[in-house]
Amino acid sequence: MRWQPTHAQIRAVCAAAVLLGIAVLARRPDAAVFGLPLAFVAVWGRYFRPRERPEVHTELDANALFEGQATTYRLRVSGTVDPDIDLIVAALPRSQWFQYDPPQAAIAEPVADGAVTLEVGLRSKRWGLRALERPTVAATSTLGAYRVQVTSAEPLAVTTLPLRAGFEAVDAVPRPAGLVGLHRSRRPGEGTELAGVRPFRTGDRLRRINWSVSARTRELHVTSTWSDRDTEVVILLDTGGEIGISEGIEGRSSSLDTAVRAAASIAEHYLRHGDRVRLIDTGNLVRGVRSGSGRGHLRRILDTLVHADRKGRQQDEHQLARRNRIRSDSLVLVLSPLLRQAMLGYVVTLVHSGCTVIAVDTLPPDIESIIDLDEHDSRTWPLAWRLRLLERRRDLDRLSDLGVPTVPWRGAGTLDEVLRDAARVASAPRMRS
Amino acid sequence: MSTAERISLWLAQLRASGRASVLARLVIAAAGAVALGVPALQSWDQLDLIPLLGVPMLLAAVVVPDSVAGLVFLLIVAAGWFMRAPGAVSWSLAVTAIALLVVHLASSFAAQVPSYARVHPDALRRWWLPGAIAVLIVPVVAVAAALVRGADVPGSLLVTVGALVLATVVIWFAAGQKLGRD
Repeated sequence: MRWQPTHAQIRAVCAAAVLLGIAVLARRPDAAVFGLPLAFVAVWGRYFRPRERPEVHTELDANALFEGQATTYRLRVSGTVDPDIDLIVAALPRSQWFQYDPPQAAIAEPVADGAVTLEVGLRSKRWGLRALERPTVAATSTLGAYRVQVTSAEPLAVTTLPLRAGFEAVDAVPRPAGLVGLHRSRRPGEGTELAGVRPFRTGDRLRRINWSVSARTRELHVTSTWSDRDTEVVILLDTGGEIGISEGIEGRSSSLDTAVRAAASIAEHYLRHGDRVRLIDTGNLVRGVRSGSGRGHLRRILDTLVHADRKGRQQDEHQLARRNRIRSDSLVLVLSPLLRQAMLGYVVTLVHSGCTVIAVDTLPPDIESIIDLDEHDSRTWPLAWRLRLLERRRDLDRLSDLGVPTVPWRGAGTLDEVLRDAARVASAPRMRS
Repeated sequence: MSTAERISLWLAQLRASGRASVLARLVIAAAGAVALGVPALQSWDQLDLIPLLGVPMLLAAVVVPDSVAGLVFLLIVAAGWFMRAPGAVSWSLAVTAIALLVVHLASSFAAQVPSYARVHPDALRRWWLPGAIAVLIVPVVAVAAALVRGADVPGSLLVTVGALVLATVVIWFAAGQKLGRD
């Protein structure tokens, strides 16, 4: 694309031509007074016309953000910039999930010392992987006489990880297993948590001998510890439907928003404490995350959660059970609006296989009042939702009878009570029928 | 995009207008009002059609500076002057010419940035010199024209042909034409 004259240049040329023609032909000096300044402006604009097209490169300070974090979108005119270029104007196509600074994401900067850099602040408001559309960039010459559209820029994408608020839960897990992790265990073994001092037994390690107690009692004693435990926490994410309205971190949350944010917080909490965490996405056959631990594993889970809004084929109850085999001593946290029969059926299957299952209800509390007037009837829609919620209440009561507690997601402390109850039930003596 | 969506978008952009864009449009409106008002105050009787045509064109130039409305407005005001004015050079002529020039420059500036863009304060730094020279040209030409007319220079054919050639060269150059084939 070449430098093209603008309306301003055409206006100056045409007006000057007409007025100077009248001045000469009609012997009207007043027409020359009108026309000569415009002719001068036209000549100035023409004389200082740039010849070269600028090259624009775009970059992001950071392409992975947490929700609410901001970065800078930078548009750099590189190389030798034609000195006759006056302004570089750039406008970013706006997305509802970013907040821009300036708010309209359009900026005009003069070229100074042969270089120019345009910066637009970006603040991400919702998790997900989003491509930034190419900006519209134009360069103009002095007096706005010529303009060229600059096709810029490499396509860029921002990954927004769904982790924001810190999540904490009580230090209780129903069935701790294994020997790694930072939690206290009810099982004595190698660890760091002091359990007591007891007489030496065959098999005790020599480095465990408590010499001061042994000297005092004249009998060998060892310091015993509780084994550090790890448990497998399975996060079952129901991506079968997005219910409610998503307005980003500062507005209302849909069921999928709540589920994804809860999954990230729970994974971060348990991985921080040394447990193994597994993620199952019901809408994706291949994108689950196998059981693992550590910071790298958290990043794997977050990267997977970023794609949770991609519409995948939902698995039914049998497919879920066949493809996702879960150990019977696992703690399964189901993040779901609990409306799909396939999901409820899979939860029952998990309970029957011996897992400890806790259902986290992600249905927005104001769901009855969310009406799309273009699609729903304002009278029957709330009534339909009331009936559906009554049915759902019945299903949740049945789950409760099976020992599956249901708690709405409230951030930190959501799982405390149900985890304590589950730990108490798991440690109680079992009655065989 | 439907008409309703276009209007909604346009209103949203209007609400989000930047300071530079608003100032430029205010300058267009003020200078345009001067260019329309000064001829109306003269002793000669201006055509009634001129404000009827000029005001809508001025409004269009304010709203959409990157359009032909500015050119039409300039020609309407100039035509109104040529049709009824006596042809004498006066200060009111110079004021009207400066107002038309300011309308042109402000439209040029407003046209190159989106109305909602944030404009750097130094964006006008390359405009002051040519703008000031163009404004100064108006009284200089006015005084020169008055002097030539007052001196009653003989040989008007020669002067006419010379001015015609000069005007042609200026327009030829400003229009970006070249003598060669490329």
